[in-house]
Amino acid sequence: MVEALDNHKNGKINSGQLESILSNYRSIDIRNDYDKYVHQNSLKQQYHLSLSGGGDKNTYFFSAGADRNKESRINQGFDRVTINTQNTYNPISKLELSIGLNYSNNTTKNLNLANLYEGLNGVNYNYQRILPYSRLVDDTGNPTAIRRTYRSEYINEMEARGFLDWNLRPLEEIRLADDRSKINNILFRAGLKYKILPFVNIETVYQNEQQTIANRNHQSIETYYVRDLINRFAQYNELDGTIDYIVPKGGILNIGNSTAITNNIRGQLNYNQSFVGHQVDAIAGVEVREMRSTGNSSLSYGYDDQFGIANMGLDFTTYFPTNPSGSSLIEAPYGGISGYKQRFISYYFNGGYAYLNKYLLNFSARKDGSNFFGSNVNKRFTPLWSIGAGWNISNEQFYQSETIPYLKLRASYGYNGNFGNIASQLTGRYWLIPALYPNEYLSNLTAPNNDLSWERVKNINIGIDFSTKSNILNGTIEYFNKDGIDLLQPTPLAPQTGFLSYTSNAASTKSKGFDITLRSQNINRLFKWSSTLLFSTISDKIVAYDREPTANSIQASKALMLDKPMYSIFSYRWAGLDPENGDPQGFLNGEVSKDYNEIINNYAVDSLNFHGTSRPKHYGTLRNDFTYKGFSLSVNIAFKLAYFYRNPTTSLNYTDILTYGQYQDFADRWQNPGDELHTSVPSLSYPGNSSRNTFYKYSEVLVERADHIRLQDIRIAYNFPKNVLSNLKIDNLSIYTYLNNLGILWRANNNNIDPDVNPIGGTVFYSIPFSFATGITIGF
Amino acid sequence: MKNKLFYISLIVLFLGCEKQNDWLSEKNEKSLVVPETLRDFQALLDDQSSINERFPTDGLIGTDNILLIDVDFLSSNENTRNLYSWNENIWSDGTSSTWNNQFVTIFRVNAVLEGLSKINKATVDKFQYDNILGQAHFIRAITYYNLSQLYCEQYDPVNATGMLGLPLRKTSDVNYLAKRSSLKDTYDFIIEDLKSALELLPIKGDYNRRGNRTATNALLSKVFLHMKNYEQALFFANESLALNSSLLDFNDNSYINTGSTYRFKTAGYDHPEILFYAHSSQYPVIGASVSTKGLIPDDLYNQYLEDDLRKSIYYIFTNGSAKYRGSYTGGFQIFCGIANNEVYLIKAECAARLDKPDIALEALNILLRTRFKTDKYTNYEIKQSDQLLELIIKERRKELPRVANIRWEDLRRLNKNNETKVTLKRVINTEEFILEPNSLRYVLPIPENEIQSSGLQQNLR
Repeated sequence: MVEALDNHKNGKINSGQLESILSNYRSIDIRNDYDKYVHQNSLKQQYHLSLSGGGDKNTYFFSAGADRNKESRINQGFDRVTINTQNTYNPISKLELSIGLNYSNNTTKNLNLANLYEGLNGVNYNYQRILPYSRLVDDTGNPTAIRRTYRSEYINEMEARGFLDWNLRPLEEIRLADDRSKINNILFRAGLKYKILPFVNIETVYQNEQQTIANRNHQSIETYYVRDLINRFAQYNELDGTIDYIVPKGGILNIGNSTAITNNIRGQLNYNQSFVGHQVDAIAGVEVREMRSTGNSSLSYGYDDQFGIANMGLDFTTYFPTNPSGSSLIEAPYGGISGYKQRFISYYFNGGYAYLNKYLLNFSARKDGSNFFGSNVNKRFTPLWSIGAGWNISNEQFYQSETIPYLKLRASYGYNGNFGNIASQLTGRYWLIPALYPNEYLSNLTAPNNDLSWERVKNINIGIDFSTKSNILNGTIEYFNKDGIDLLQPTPLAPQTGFLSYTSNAASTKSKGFDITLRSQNINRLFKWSSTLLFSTISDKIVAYDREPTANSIQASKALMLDKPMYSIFSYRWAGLDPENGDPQGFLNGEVSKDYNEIINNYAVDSLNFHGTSRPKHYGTLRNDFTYKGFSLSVNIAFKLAYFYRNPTTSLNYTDILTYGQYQDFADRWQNPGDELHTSVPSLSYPGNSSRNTFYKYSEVLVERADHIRLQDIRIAYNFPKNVLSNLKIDNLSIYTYLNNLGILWRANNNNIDPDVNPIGGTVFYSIPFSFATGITIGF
Repeated sequence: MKNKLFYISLIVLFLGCEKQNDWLSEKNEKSLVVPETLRDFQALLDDQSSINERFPTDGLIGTDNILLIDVDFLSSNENTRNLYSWNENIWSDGTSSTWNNQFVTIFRVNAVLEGLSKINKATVDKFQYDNILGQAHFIRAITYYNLSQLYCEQYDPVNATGMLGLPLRKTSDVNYLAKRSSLKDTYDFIIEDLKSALELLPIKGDYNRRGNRTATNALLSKVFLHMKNYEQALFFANESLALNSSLLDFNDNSYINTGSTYRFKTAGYDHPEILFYAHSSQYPVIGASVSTKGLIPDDLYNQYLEDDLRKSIYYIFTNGSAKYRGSYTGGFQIFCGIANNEVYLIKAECAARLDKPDIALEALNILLRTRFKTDKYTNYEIKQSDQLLELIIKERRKELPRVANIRWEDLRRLNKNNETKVTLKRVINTEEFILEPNSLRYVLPIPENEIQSSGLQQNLR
């Protein structure tokens, strides 16, 4: 299109020709080609077989499964085989031994077009920006080249000189993809349970898991990536017209291998004893886990897949002139080994006491530690404890209610601490990239914070469990109160410190709310109808925050400000569009203003609009189940209420739009006087003005209520009756259909936006995909 | 028996506690480290991508060594446009990567200095220890020097105590916020760091990316030049040249290739003039690449004589205007380190100012001879120091047109004298912009996010 406009400007084509070229482009939408040539319906097939049996002294279980998936894009897939066994022996009555083995092997096939949808502009890093009026096939249906990076004139000129074909044909790329990842997994498990005393037993479980991952991506010389690399480094001799290929003519093979070994051992004491009226249950245990992994990778140039040979006689340290301009190094293979070793220890205790099944007491505590790097050893453990009490009122003599035969009151109080796996010391990562730098160096530094300490959360819960006569209505109502103390938060730092943010104990919060669960049996005959309502409500506010707000604060997803909820949404007041030129207008000191810098820097909380939180204050689901004979139907509706979101919008700067693509409201931008009457999208500006854009992006005109109700899923099933099956020697047979994400039933916003979906790449929305599954289960 | 078993199993369960801290102190990833050895500290200073390759060139955009035609001005990014048109606001979104990056370097240095102070010197290689310590002081000094030329007023020996300097950070504690010091304290701090480095560093480092004694002398000379202490500036220029006085003969085809896009060897590891290597690729408009938009103004390009090799090595003349190609980086990046051509010019200038015309002439002629075609250079023979000074200042602009912020720093410095002050003018979209000598616009604003989060005093613009 740019070429056509340029030709028109230079007089090579007239306005009529230009118009016909443009109208042709207008009729093309690359998404249609994606749907036709790239997308397909995904299909997941799963086969599963299991056997089990045993006698007094032993039991066995064996299962095998196979999966074969066809993904939603062509030339992508997933295969898996699994085998599981589990055996237990009881040589003497006090002792139980168990041994199990799980094996799985899976292969994932990737297509070498990642990020296909990224703002319609990225196929992957090397192939950015597919123009929306591109075609994937020509008029005869053959894969065709798309215009990108180089002009066609340049490509033709270079090809005439003897360079490799420099066209990119996305569909060809998909066909040529040869990128697989294989995962092998073996897990061995052995357990021992021994009854020391009638009321005490000890159990230990040992587990060892080995996983190997092998990735192999072979890009043949036919792929664009390889042709482009060879052409860019080809040295053309103007004098004799010869070409010296610095990158050998051949494929490129990337291999990555890694192995992970996990060892896990757990020891636990169980104590269960009851006397007349008393019941004591306790467990105490310790669990230790270690995960070790190593990985390496290789990169081969000039690779010939037929014989497995590569040409590695390359010079990785010289800057070669590249076509069409500049100079560059050839990416050198990496010879290092990555290594990880993660260790965890947990101690836990849980004890309960009940008296006459009326009065209940419970205490639990645990302590978890890990070898997270960069923190002091004594801060590597996170403690947690809670104490609870319960009262079964309905078990009391005096309680004689027929309408509510079951009633229980309970309360708990507890603390937990968290250290968030944050390094308190300065840590760095070693790098060595000889092609660029002769010396090793430390990078990826983390900000040290000697003041770092636990964040603590104090929990208080009070709840009632009840059920009415014949269990027609039952449920729980629970009140909770959480005090977050010294919460670890990403905290902005002044740039003079050398870091822009770190995690610190910056905030304290108070939150409280209710969780309610109600189940009702509405009709209970041959036709059954029951309902389940889950409803939660929560409100929170920040009671301490040790940083001053800055102009950037309101742009963060957590705009932490005193006395406001943690996920507050603030905005700049909006004064409409300037009828003269479509500029956005705000308020400064009570006056309509276009001094965007001053508006942005006037960030005191009371000069901003506060809307509410970006997290729902009320949310839940309502499920209705219907059954009639073998048929069952379940409909689940989810709702989220009383919260806000910021509408995504177009950038107001042309340069951004050229770089990142535009959002759909680009079409609604102010273009002529009078447009301000029906749009709030400002005019675009060139050259760009970031403050104008920032003001608009965070203005109140873009904040909307996010409340919505969604039809989450529907499940329909049919169980064949036993009498039909018994003739077929089948225990049970059922078929089902499951529909997920059926759509939004009601929403507060008028923009047809699903607030649960984040735009991809900031500009393009693809709704949560509707999925549909159907299956048959047979049991023998 | 049963009880015994019970107790034994209890012991087994909790025996682990004793060893747990040892067991958990194992590193969870091979390549991670909490820096504590000499090797670690050298590695902290060797991150070229963070230290050497992020030197600032913001000032250069506001000088008379760049010209943008209207179309290219409009297509440039906002910071570039603001710097080019000497706008009141500079930093779009209130942040400046220049400011941020320099303080990342200062953090690294402070972490190294603190770490080294915890090492018992008797237990390690003393030479290596001193070398790292010296590099740290050198890097902090050059970083503060660069910041002072952008965010502080030109040094005034009489009033420096009452002028605003930089926040001087001597700790890696990110919970500490420094306030702005006086300009005198800032310069004293820079000199103190450099004098420490002088005692510690070897004459030449393993790579020209690391601080060394020669470059430290050169930088001291540069700092004293700005402080108008010409005796000291001359002294340290001589010290530097005594250690390394080599110049690149621009006739040397083994190092210079006018046929390729970039004239000098890539990355300049063995460039004979480079004492300390640093560069910037922050602003494409001033870069040396083919696609760069910033032109070389005619009044500069036309100053070169026909036999002056710099005319064809530093520039390419196409479509009626000259573009810069001659970065010592051998790439599109702007060279921001210290090289001997600058040291010769400082020596010449200081000698002229101290009325030592013979010394000045010698330094100037030695340098310029290497810039001309073999046997085409005639020595200057001016004996009047004031005329000589005028010539040297002119030659500085010609020799160092796009090196670091040198032209910007020179404008700030020379504007303090009536004889050498310059008024800059630009016409952008028919609108005229003027930068008066000593204008407040010669001091960049501190980015808003710094002001808002640490309460630093803002510069008046």
